[in-house]
Amino acid sequence: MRLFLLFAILAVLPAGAEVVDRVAVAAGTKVITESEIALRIRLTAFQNGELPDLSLPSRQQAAARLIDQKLIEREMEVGRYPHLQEPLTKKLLNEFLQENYNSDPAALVLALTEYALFPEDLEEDLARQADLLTFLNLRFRPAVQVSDDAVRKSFDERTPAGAAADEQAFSSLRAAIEQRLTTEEADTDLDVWLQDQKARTKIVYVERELAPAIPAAVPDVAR
Amino acid sequence: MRQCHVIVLLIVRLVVLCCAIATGRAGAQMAAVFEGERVVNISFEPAHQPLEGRELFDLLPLKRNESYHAAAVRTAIGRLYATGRYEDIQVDTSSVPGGVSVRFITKNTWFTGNVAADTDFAEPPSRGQLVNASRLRLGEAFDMARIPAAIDGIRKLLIDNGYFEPDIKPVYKYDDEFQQVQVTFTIHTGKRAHYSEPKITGDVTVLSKADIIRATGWRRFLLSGYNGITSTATRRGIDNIRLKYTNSNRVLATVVLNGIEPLSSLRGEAAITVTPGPLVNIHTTGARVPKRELRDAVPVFEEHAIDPDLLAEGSTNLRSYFQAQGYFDAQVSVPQQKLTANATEIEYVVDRGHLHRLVNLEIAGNKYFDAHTIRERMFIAPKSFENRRGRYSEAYRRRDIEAIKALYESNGFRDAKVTAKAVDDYLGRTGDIGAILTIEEGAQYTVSALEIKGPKIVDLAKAAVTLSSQAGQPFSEFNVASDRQTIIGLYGEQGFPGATFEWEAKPGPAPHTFNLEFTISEGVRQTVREVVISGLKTTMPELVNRQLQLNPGSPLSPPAMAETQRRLADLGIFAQVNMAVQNPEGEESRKYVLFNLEEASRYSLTVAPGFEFAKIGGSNAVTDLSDPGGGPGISPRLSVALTRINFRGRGESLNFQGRLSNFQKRAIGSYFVPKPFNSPSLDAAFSILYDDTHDVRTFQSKREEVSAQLTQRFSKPITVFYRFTYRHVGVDNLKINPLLVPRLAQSVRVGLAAFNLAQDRRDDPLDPHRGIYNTLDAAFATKAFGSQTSFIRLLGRNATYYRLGQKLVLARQTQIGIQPAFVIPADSDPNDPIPLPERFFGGGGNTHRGFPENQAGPRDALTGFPLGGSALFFNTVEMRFPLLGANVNGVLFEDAGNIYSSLSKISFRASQKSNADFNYMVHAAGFGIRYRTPVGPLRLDLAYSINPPRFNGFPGSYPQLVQCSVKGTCLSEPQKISHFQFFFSIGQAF
Repeated sequence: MRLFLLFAILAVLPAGAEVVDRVAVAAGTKVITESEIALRIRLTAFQNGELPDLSLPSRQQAAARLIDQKLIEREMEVGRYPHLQEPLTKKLLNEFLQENYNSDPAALVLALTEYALFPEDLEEDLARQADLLTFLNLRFRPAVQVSDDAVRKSFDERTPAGAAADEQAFSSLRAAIEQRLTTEEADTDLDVWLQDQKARTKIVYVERELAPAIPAAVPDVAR
Repeated sequence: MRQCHVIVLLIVRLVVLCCAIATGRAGAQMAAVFEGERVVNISFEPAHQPLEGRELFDLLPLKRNESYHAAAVRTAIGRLYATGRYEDIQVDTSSVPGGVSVRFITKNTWFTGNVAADTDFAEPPSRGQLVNASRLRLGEAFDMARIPAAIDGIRKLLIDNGYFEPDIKPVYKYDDEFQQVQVTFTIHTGKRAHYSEPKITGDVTVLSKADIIRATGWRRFLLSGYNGITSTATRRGIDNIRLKYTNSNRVLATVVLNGIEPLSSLRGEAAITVTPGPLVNIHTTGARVPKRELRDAVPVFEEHAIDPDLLAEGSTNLRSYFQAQGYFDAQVSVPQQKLTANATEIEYVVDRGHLHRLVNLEIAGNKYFDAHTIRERMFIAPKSFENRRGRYSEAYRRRDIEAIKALYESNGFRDAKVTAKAVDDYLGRTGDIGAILTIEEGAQYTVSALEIKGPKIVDLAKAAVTLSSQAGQPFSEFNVASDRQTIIGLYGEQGFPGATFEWEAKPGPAPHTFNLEFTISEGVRQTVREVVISGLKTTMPELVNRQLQLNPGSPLSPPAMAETQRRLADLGIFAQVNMAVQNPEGEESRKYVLFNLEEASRYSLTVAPGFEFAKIGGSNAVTDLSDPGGGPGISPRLSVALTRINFRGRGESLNFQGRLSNFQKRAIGSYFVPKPFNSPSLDAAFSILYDDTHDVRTFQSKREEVSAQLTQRFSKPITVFYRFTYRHVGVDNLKINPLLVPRLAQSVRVGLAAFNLAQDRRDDPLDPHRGIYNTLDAAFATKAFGSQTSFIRLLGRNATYYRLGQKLVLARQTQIGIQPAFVIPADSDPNDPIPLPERFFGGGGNTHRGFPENQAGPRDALTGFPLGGSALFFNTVEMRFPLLGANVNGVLFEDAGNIYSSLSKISFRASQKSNADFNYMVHAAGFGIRYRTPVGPLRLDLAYSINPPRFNGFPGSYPQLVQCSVKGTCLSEPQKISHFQFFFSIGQAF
């Protein structure tokens, strides 16, 4: 046993220094590290119950999502939007634990370990998602105006063809349709806003393979 | 037990590592391996980092002897990158005894430093334009990818200016200390290309090609061929073609420059496409509008387009034009434009209505503000001297109501109501209008209590007493906005650029009161890390350093930076003073402040030919004694100035000025030392002068002089000058028999120590409207200073300016001077010992307009030429008033006084006792016109002297004078100074 452990230790411990993290992408003064991209992939995979995919396209996709996240974070800082703080973040984690792991922390830790994650990582991610929702609700939702015509049109489109319009059904679904249309409209506005922010922000792909397209060759600094 | 713990730890490590291998990449593997281990060491590679030790380690969430967390490494990278100082950051870890060693491997960001252009060609473009064309901004992150665009920008600018084959090479100089890259574009261009005959395409039936070419102005004047290409000439040429089409009623003509095609390196062919467009006839019916006014009013002429907005704007402008003429009810409309074959007709239909005058403006109901304060904010104005019909229209009425309402609201009268009505045929007179403005002020809302929350570092106690929204003060959003500006400004000065201000008002304990709460979030304080100066070639760094208002560690204050920039610019030795904060977006608390200076050309030469025209004439011939009073004269004049600035690199300057005219030959060399002894309140100047002048008709004075002057500014209004002058003054071409004035006519050496105090509290020195200006000049000439004659000179001047109402200025000035001699040479007249050139002379545009220049005071009894005096008194009163529009003013003046023989002879007597009596007070009244210019008002004064001096003149030549003097048979005949005088110059009289 001792011999096995010694062998294992020798296998695990690095012979020299190894790079553990580095800048991958920068959006303005916000930075996305390689480990952050991997973390995002593992968190998404964990929450979707999938195996993490660390291929280049998956990392590019994660980097793109993280750029959006950084732009939103910057706007939230500048605009002094409220962030979710403890103990509400803990509450979110507990809710997740209750819904998915029958309030068994050990089961959650074990499941997280399979994805090389810690409970703190999950808590942070849940809080981030809540913050994004807050931003969407405060920034874009109030400006969305859903007209009666749009609600009716959406109802009609989803009513089975040939069926007569049921006013009672329409009345009962009206609030839900309005809610859905508002969310869709707000999402669209968010996308437009993100495109605009990306155009205004200097985005540097330090790890060039993460860039959506290969940038033009840059002359070397003549030193 | 311990062994067991180690084994468990290893097992956990192994499990996590296996997971990481299965799901992650190598970095994640290693990060996971060290999770929770003790951090033994944190190091940086390279060891020399742009952030200093403490600042660097304060940023890191990862601490020595604490647990290692991958999330902390991630945060550390984020924080370091956010400082803007790094282009790339990697972190590696290694296992060491007792835990883990963490190393940050960084690559620094470079920032743009001094950007310069090294050129070998004639301007334009200037170096500044070239640097601007590169679009590389001082202090921003340097990106090598932007260099090709910078070169393209410079190349385009050069091509636009006729340098078709420029060779542009960027040279980089890296400054590791401040992470700056200094970029110098070395540019060689060859000769500037000239225009050739432009290639004109399009419709040339309206204007022929020859007309178009002529309009460009690109041909050489009086010579064959074309001028050199410059972007300004190209733009002007195209504009001129367009103007020519506009003058031919082709307002919609388009003139497009398709580019300038290089025919060779020295010839460029401009390709121009012209489209004349339809004939556009814009006119008015119902009332005539002069062509020029119509063009000013209708923007179609300016915009070269016809659309409903521009036409409507034309209607509005024309209505305003008629309203200004007194047609307050004028209506202007523009019906549908008429289109015919190749022509558009735009007709403005004018209904002027009746001619009105606003004869009375009554303001009622105002208690808090007086009528004057309210009127100041109104467009509506009753008739006045300037505006004979007054100003009134419905639009003005609405605007004034809003303005007055805003005035009340900003002072807490939240319920204020303002109404206005006009009474036609006021007091029964047809066309007269009376306007009545009624104000219902309502209750004034006040602040019951003000609470300021949030300040931690900045002490707002001093600022709080200056806030507009203090307890008891009126409450209004305007005041709160003003307070916000005050507080945020204060925080800005203290280096808190991110400070925010929020406010809340809640109803107070009493009616019409509010409790106010200001909440301030200070944010992070930014300080100056270092001030970095670049661009100095010959200037001594100490000179620049003395102007700095920022030091390392001081708050990053924009006002202090602006003040430094102003002081550097005021040195007058820099063509450009660029200022920036390096890494402006970077989240670091200590910033480099950059000043990039471009030294100006050190030599400048100005040659200015001109004319002098005034009552300075009359024959200066020695033999001609016919005109002792002088007459109108004109003289050509040539002025030359050669200046060498920044002498010795210390901001000193050498200056040579020469002036040559029929009346004066003058050369002066001066050496100016700003702020000697590192004293910001001192300036020193040394000068050497040669002056040969006929400014006094009696003699020609030749002056050779050296002087040294120290100027000390005690405060903004008070300046003291200490001066020592040593001069030799000779008298030539004397029009008086020297035998009669043997001592007066002698050349003298004078050593003079002088002290001059000036107090200037005028609002505008060029054209004062209020304030005070006092000077006291005390000079002392004695043998101890090498002077051949000993006297004291005291000259005082007091001028005050008062506003009378809004438009009138009452200005007055009194000058009094005495010059007693205290050591009288044995061969001098004890009553008159001071030689001619040192005496007081006066009269003229700046002293007394009842006299021609220097014609006041005692005169020679035989010839009538002025002799000057030992005392002077002049008093001037002016009423200045607007005459025509904003630029032409009128002046009514009264000048009184004279030059007197001595202090005891000063008299206010208005009558002259005899032709030999000059010790009386001469009065002159007159009228003047002032035309405002940027260098001061252009002045024309016409004066009528009420009691000009009579005197005896000699009706012969100088030889005859000498002859008759010997024989004692000289006869004189009575003469007098003309009643009428005129003066033409720049600047107010005082």
